[in-house]
Amino acid sequence: MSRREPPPRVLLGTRSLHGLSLATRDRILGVADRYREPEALAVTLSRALDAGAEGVLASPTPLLADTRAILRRPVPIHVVVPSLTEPERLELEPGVEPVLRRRLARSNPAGVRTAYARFTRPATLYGGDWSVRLPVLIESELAGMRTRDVRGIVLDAWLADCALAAGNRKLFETFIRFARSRFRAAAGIETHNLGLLVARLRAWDLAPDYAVAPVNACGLGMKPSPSEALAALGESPVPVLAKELCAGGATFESGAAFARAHGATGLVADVCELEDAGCELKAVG
Amino acid sequence: MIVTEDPAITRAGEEAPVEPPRPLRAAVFGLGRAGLQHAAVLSTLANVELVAIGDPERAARRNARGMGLAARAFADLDALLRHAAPEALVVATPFDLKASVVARALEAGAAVQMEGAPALPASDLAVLLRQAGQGRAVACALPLAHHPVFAAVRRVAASGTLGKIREVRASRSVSRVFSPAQQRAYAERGASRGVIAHTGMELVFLLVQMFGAPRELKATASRVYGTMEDEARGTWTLDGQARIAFEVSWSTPGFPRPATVIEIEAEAGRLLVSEDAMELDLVAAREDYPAGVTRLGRADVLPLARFDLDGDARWLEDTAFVAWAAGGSEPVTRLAAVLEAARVIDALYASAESGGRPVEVGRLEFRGPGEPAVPPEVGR
Repeated sequence: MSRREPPPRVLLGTRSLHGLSLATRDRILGVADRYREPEALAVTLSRALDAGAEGVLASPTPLLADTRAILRRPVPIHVVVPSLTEPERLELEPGVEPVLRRRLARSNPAGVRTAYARFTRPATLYGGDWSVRLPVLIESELAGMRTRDVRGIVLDAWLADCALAAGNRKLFETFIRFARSRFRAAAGIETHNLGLLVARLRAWDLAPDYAVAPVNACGLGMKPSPSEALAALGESPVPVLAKELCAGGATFESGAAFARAHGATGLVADVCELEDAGCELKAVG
Repeated sequence: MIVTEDPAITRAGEEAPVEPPRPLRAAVFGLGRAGLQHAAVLSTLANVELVAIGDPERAARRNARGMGLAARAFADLDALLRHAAPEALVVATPFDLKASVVARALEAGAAVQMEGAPALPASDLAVLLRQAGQGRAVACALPLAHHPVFAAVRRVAASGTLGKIREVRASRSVSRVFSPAQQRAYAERGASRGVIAHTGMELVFLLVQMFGAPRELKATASRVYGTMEDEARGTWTLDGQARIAFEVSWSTPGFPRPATVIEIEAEAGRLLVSEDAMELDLVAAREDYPAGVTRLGRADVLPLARFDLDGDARWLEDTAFVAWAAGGSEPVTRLAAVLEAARVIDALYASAESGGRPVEVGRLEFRGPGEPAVPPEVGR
């Protein structure tokens, strides 16, 4: 956001389509089935944008690309990287190289930017160095997207929480700088450990444009404890977008109210939490 | 806007397992997915210093350093044990190296937690247990045993709330193997056993923990994608009356994450549990539970982890292990307890290989480290 826009107040989330949700297994499978075709997701996305959602929080999957092609209207995207299927998430060792190896083996690593990034940060010299090689991963993940649609780049908790635990300040610093300078986009960090993230960012004197973390009245996914996470949310110098609003059984409206009342700057309304995106998002917008 | 309820703050008894009571030097050997997760979790624990990491593969060590782990990295286990002198070591090596690595760590005097114990025959685990002797902490990483919902069910079963058990049905499924190549990937990591050991062990461990080890069982297995079994079913009886039946599969579509379901029919009612929730339906009020249906979701059960890495279980099991290594109480996944389940697993394999014949669990003959246990009637 050299565009330096304020953090979004409402995003439509599609993370549950990849199995990433605290909703029940039945619910996740049902939603995945409902949005199997891009047409269905396009309708929901369109309604969400009309109802005031400022974009979509999603990984750059073929489904998202097909959906955007159907919509034929600009869809601001906050891209979560890396894009992982559920089996990849459960099988790959955390790191940049394992994901890059899969990406480069599968797809044509064309794209001048990707090639340039690989040339300037070669694996032979920097292999395994998360902070040096992360830009290569981001370039390869975003290779098929128009830069002007990318409003934010969000580091997936799969990588972010490991680096956070290990105290890898350099990774976060590199990520924030790269997202802003290369894509002129907001730098977001997804975490399932909000308390630790806020404490570390403060200690490291780093300020991403926003963090994305679970916030719900049941305290699910709120670490180190629900009360400490809420305290961190209230005191965080970094804007926090609340996700998993309905975890534990809350309604979307009450979940949104809870998050806002405790200091969340914005909301990520996942498709698995919405029955009618238009009405529900309008109500909380 | 008025928020009238705030259970996140007011929930009573919010507590987490106790972290080690004294400073502890910890290390991780094997820096694949599980090893990195253990290293990450250990880095967040109070009173735990991650003094070393190790892996024979240079790329794995570089990846771990790239993650931000500042501990000294070793290619060789002996060098790690000699120079870093960890008091607690997490072993997350490929399956075929595990027993020897654990044995060397025990010789060096470290407490050990091993990832992937299910892949080892009970005879190997028995040798390790003997080697550990009295007072040495040896545990196994079985995240399902630490899953808050299943931990709550274990407590319910132990409390006698359900009364006499009549029937137990259980299943564990995951969508993991749908081609010979995917099965080969397990074999390349040193695995010689299939779904019973890899997917079923955690379920069998839970069943044995809750209801005790059987004297006799039978099992059948089917091989779809290679030499290892892809699906299996097993049954045994408790005290000659209650029947336990389970099935495991790593080739069922629709289960991106492992899904476990246990259904218990008992004289006092019925209990149904999955990773999402526990549902207890009692005929009359018993212990702390009222008559009728009581549903406890993930948010309602304790304990809660203080760091989330792919869920709560990893933090809970590592905390329990290092607390034990520092002089605390034994975790549920101590090797002695896992050995009981491993004997059941061996018997399941023996029965499946003999076409589903009944096999006595207690009569397994252990021929020595590295060799599978063989029931006498099958061996003849």
